[in-house]
Amino acid sequence: MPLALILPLIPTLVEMLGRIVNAAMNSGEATADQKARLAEIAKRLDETDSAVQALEIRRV
Amino acid sequence: MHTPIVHPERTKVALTRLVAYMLLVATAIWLTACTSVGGFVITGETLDAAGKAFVQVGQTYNRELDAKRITVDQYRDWAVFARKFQQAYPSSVQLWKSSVAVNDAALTKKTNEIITSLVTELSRLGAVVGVQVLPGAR
Repeated sequence: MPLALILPLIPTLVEMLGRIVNAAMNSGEATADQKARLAEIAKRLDETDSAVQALEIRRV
Repeated sequence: MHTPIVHPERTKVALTRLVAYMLLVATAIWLTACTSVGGFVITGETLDAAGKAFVQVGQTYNRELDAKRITVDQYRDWAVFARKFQQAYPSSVQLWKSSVAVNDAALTKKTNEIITSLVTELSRLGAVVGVQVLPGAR
C-alpha cells in the first residue's frame, strides 16, 4: 500500500486506538472513591442546574 | 535468480526509524487514552462552577438593575445571554453524565467546548457588574 494512502489515516487510527485503550484502562480502574466523587459531582450539578433554572431574568 | 544485497548500515537506520515511528504512535495513543476519571472530575467541577457563577452574576444584574446602577440596555444584553445559558446548561449536564456513563473522552471534550464558550461570554457580562468569573473555582 503506498505511504501516501496510509499517512492521512494515521490520526484517525491513533484516535480510535486511544479510545479503545482509554475504555480498557478505565473500565476496571475507577475506584470506589472515584465513583463516589463522580456521583457527588452529578448530584451537585443537578442542584446547580435547579439554581440556574430558578434564576429570575427580568423582562425589560 | 539473484541474491538481494543487504547493507547492514541501511538496515540499522531503517530499523531505528521504524522504532522511532512506533514510539511516536504509541505515545500519541497513550496521550489520547489519558482522559480518565480525572478528566471527568475536572469537567464536572468546571461545569458546576460555571453554573454557580451564572447564578451569582444574574443576582448581581438584578440587584444593579433595581438600584438603577446599570442601564436597561445593559440588562437586556445580559437577559439575552441568560436565556441561552438556561437552555444550554441542562444539556451540558446531561452530556457530562453521558460521557461518564459511557466513559467517552470525546463527549467530555464536547462538554468542555460548550463550557468554554459559555464561560467566555459570562466573563464578559460579569465584568460589566464587577463580578469576576473564574472557571474551575468552587
